[in-house]
Amino acid sequence: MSNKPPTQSDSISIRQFIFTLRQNPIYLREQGHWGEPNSIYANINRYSPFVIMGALVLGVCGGNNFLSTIGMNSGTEWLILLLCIPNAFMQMLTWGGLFMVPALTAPSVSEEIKRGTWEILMLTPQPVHHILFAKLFGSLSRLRIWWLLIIMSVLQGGVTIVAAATAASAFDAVSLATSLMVAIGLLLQPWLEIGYAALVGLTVSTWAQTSRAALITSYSIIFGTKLVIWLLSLLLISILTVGILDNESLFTVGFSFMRIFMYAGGIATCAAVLYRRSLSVETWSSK
Amino acid sequence: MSAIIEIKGLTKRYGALTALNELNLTIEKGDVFGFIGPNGAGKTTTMRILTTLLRPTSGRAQIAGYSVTDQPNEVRRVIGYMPDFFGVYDDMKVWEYLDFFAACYDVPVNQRKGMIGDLLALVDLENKRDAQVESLSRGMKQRLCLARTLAHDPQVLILDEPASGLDPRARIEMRELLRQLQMMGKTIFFSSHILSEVADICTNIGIMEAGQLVAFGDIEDMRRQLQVQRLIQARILGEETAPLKDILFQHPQVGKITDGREVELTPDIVRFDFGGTDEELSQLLRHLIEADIPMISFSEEIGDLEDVFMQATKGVVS
Repeated sequence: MSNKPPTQSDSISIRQFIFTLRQNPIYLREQGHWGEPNSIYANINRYSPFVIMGALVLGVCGGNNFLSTIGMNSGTEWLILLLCIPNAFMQMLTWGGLFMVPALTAPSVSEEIKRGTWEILMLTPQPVHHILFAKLFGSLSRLRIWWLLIIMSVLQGGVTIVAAATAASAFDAVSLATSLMVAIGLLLQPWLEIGYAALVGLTVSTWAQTSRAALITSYSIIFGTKLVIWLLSLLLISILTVGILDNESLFTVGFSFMRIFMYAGGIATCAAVLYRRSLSVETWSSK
Repeated sequence: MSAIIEIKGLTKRYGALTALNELNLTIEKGDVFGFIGPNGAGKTTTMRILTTLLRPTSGRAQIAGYSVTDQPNEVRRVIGYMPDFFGVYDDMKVWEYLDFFAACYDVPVNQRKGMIGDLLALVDLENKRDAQVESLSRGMKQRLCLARTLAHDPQVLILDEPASGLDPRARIEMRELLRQLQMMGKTIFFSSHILSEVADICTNIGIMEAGQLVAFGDIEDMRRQLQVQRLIQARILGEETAPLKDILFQHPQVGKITDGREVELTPDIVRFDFGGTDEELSQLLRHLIEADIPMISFSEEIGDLEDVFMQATKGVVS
């Protein structure tokens, strides 16, 4: 055994880090390479068939609800319908992800703090932001929905392009633009929602004293956000119903992008908090 | 010998509370430094600053020439830190725990297997290699934690209460382990409440109180600094202790003399306080032998570090 001089690993860029992520011990640990890092996820995972069934119901209902609220008078029903088939699957995966992702990320740091291993990890040559990245991606890699979500996204993107190409001559420019924007919204929404859930879980995890508290707080924030969005949609629908806003297309696009901006804003906020926390180890050790 | 830890004017304030006040300390390479003091004295604060977990309000500290504030990454590579609680993963096997931390310190895969074997042999956990960490006793977990601090072969070990909560046997094992590490050339900076343990293995001791270093040096130095009386116990052949006491009464460095019977010991024993140096004590013993006092034993009582500690501290907490 000999003393190693400081290496350049201290200052490697995020890009290099992501490139070498699969060799990172913290990433591998989160994947279960050394023991079971997350007993909460292991427990919740036992109930995954119920989560899948629940997500299936919610996904299909979400798709039908979408069908019933938009596009029915615009003459683009078949286009919307085509978009909604993969979307129903994506909704299903999103619901599944929203239940499972916090169980993966919320205990990732809080469990270390509880065990007394967080400070030990911070004293390794791994910078704090690398530890957080490795924990985030390592824990998320345990979820088995990513390939399916990518396939559904590609399918939905493909359907959108084919539909747009074939419908270009049949519909007016406004209907086409509306459908395209809604499709883009539908494509982004599952990724943003799951990304938001993951980052909320990780951010809460850095403050919580126990994994259970982190998980409950994360679920509250994530489903609270969903509730706020649902209430906002009700408000918009009621505005539409009383005739203050008479443009359905504008409503549909507006609502779709409002959701996207809310989730993107949530992700940016969590990322900013985590970045700030990662600048100094003292902010963690003073707990 | 060269200084491996240098602390100059180190101060840490939390609002109006001064946890550490202008601490100056130099530890030589290879030293075993025992940091003692009552709770809230500033020991853990000092250790956390040295490990880069806490930033000082003012002052500076260097380990192996690296500044803890300006070069934290370099400092982390030369130190091994064991906090005052178990930092273990119960879900891992013993070898996995060491393997994981070795990987975190960029130890190449082909070196790890041999290194894990060496570390487990050092901490006497070879037969627990494949055991689940959860199944280990408290003492074993503490030793495993110590093995983890050595995974990257650091020059300096910073150990916060390494023997806290251990049973007497585990404490002795831990002490022996620290001795071995000292022989391996490691510099050990550790805090403890168990004073006799500190006295046994430390080359230097620092006593903290209310954020200030009130005494520093080896035990002899400190006794001199604080003018603490040493307690000497003499045993003679037979029960006739009067000639011994007569000589002791005449010696200027001898203080209170106690007969063995008074302290529930055998009548052939006499205890006395001695304020002199080792040389003066040696001269006294020679004088007793020359005076035909039938000496059987003549020894210093352990536990006198407690006197040093009590003398140095006033029970003030910052």
